[in-house]
Amino acid sequence: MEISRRQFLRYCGVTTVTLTTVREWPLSAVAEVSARTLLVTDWKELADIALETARRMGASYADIRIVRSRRETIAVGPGGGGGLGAFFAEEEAGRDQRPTRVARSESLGFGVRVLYNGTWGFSASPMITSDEIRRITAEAVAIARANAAINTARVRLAPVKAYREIWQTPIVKNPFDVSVEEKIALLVRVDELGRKVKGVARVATSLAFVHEHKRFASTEGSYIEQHIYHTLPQLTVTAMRRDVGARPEVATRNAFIPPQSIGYEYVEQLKWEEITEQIAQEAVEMLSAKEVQPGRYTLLIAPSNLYLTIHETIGHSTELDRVLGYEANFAGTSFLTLDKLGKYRVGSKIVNFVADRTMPGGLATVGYDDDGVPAQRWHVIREGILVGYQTTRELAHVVRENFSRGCSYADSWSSMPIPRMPNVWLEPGKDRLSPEELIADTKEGILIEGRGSYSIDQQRLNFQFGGNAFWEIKNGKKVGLLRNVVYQSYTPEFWNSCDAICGQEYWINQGTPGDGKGEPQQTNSVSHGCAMARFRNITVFNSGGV
Amino acid sequence: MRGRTRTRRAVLGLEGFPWQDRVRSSGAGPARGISEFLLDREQVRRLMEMVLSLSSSKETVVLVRRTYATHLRAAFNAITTSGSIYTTTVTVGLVLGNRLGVATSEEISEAALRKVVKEAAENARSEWFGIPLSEEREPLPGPQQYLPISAFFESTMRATPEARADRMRRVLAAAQAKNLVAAAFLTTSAGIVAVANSAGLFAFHASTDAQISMTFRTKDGSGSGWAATSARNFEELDVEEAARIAAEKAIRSVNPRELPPGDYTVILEPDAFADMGPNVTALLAGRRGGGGGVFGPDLSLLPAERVEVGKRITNPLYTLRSDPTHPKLLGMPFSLVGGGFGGGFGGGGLGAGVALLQAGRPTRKLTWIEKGIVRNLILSPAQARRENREPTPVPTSLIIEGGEGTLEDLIRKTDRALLVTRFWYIRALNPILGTSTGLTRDGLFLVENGEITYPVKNFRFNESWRTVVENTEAMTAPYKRVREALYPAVRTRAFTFSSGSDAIE
Repeated sequence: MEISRRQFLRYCGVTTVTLTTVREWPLSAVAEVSARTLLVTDWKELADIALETARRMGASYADIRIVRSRRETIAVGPGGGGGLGAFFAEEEAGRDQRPTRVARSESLGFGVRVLYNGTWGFSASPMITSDEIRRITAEAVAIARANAAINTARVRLAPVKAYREIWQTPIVKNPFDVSVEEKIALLVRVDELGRKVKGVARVATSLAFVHEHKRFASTEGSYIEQHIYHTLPQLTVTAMRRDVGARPEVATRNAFIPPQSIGYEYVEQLKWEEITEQIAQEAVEMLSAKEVQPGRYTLLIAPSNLYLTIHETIGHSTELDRVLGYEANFAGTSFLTLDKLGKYRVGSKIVNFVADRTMPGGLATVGYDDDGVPAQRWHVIREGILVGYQTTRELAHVVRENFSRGCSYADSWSSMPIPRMPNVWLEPGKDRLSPEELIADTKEGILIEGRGSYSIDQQRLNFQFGGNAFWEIKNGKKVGLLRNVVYQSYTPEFWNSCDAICGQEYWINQGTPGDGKGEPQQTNSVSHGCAMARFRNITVFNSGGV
Repeated sequence: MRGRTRTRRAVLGLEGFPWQDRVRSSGAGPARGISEFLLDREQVRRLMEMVLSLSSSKETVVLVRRTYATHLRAAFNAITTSGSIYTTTVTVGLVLGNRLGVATSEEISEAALRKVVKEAAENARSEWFGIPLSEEREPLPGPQQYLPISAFFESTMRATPEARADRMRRVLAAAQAKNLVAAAFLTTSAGIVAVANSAGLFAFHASTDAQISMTFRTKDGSGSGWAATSARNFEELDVEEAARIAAEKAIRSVNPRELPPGDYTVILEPDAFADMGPNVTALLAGRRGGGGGVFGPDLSLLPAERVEVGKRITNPLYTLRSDPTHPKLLGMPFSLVGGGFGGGFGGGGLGAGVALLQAGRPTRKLTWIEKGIVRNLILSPAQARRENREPTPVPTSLIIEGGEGTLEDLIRKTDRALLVTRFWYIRALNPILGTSTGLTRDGLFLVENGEITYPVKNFRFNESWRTVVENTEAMTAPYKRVREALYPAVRTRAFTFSSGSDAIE
């Protein structure tokens, strides 16, 4: 599920104001009183305190994660944070009219997870001292013990080897080593390029960088240290036309530059000029887009839209914890029940989905998961048939596997690891079909780019998805832009209607940093690479009510 | 370590201050530890005075939050995950020249506090991190009077892991007694939040909360029912009543009938209504441009006409008021952002920090809309000063009222309607029209001639909250806290369901 801004704010307001404040405010101070800078030997000694305390108190398993998360965001363009709060705040204290804004945040703490009599317990604190680690571990055991006394189910963990590794996202240039000035200079240039195009009213562009430094140790004997980097560029162009006496027309085009697990070299390699000019032109053209007529259409869906459809329909439905009912009270269950494994047709024969925490650039790519299991790659859908699920050490035995697929993840030191989605990507078509050839091969249809409104039921069947830009296709040609296109379908019906997928050369690794799940809710970042694909006879609505 | 700590306290004149090391070494049970962790009013006041004394700016604001939160989750009638989290945030905002610098710390210690003040000052001086302010900015608010609100219950703070497990046991037992499968989520929290500034303002609030939600399903997956409840006082968290409702809905929802998509009269239970939610803040901003300052007033997503006191702006059935003292709400006595101007901290992250300077203004009991007529509008401090009036904050601790009786009474008075337990995955569809889409979930029933007659297959809706409010024809008395507001169930006409959904569980 993608979390909405409203949900996000609500969630922050209710349960994690503190954390979010830490993350969102410029440059959090890290106090010196606890072990805020941990040398390699220090952290292992501290980790051992948790593991020994847990063992001594009777835990059959324990792990500790010491996590430092850093984030930097640099934005050029209209700011103020949006929303009514910012609107008034600006009026009050002098409107924040800076063309550029920079925010840095950092959070550091640890979480201890224990298994006592087959029942989990967890506790977390930002104070990294040996006394606090003992206290928090004892609390985790006390929680597990209280729950074990009434629990009817017992957790069974699949075996895992002990690893002593240091893993890092392969990056060439550390984004946190690049000066703020250099980043701003790039964004200002993009801003100017976009605003040069006639009809463009606003350009909003930003760069966000995430660094997660995670140290994991468990009673299995693992000591794993990981540095995970994400780079998230964004560019949005808004065109406006004011006709006398009429409400101004506005159209916003988003470039949907794929966020990647990669270094600053990605930012340097992007063809900013080309991207900016193209989406600026398209934003202006979108002002004259025609209303779509509701009906059944052939859809050509570009990676910038299809990735989120993959996320919602295939990514979530193959999560084994959902299938089993772990998420029944919140994120929901799945229509891909265990009896369907190995036989149920989810899509047409050309549809193959790979779950993958090893792919370069993938937002869910890691060396090891938060159970200490190495990253892997496997099929969940092969030739349209359900052939696999996403598992963790706790879930593997359910599908009679004696090893975990490595899908455990906690989004912060203060979060308990839960099963989370790996990168789930659509294999490209076997031939070298290009998007141009696919358009030429389509008599009538709609081409959809970019994400819009997304909603899907709790079993991942009935969905309704919007987009950002839509082109009418007639006799193999793009003939003009449409507006307010929303498509609605059922997951198996949709993927079974897929009759063409473009080739490897046109495969794009799109992704989202906003995948929400769990109670308390956690956020996951995940990629869903794909090439443009064609779907037949899909219901289209007009979201403007035509 | 102890010796060093004492020395530091002596330097600051804070002898006996319970720093975190003392919590660790107290040796007392968890409840005493939590109590010491949270700090009391006088401890926080002294801590904040210390922070203010470290700042060289005459415009300094300090915000402290500490929270102890627990969670306990169950699925398939067993406990799955459970834990506790200690969090601390000290936020310091200070103005140097005409620039605001903000910094935060996750720890309370002398070193951490000195560092956070130093970093806030560095940020204020920084070209990139300093937030430029107008010379005509509103002065910091001075000492304020606050509504007395007792929202802190020892029973919640002291709820042991065993007590929490026992509440969950009762929920699971209720499901098993009816041959149902339960998934549930129980949380407790105890926290303090305080604001102080260099103009003499000091505000402190301690609160606790306990919440539980649960989904009961039939074993064959053909029926599902959901219920949730909350209480500031853990002892008052009525898990049995919530379990009774969830079980009843699950059993009643088996073998739903398929109805055609189309427009239906619906009864929205409080959670469904809240999620579909009237955007009250937008209505009461009293101006155009509520969409967020990006385009200015001309491209407002709100109706073009100005909202004014005395004007009818909505369905006369609706009365909206704020009352943070209401026993079912026990809300915040002061606002943390910009005199209560909404949004929340961060407000989108970049550039929203200026609002911190107005934090700590009191919330008030106020009627916003009376029978559809505007009685008060949001009035910012600057506006209020210009007009020589009292500022009014953004609506918090809202009560939506206008009806009487219970949900059962409303059902009894209904000829034909679909009863909606809750919605799922609501997303904006067309912001200009205010429409959104989403699905019904965990209990959709047909009501005919005053009775629930049969379950109905889930639907997807495409509808606007404005239409929901305008078409409301009856409502119950407000009876359920959803997040920080008190909601009724409402009956509304011509609610558009656009397609069916086979999903049940």
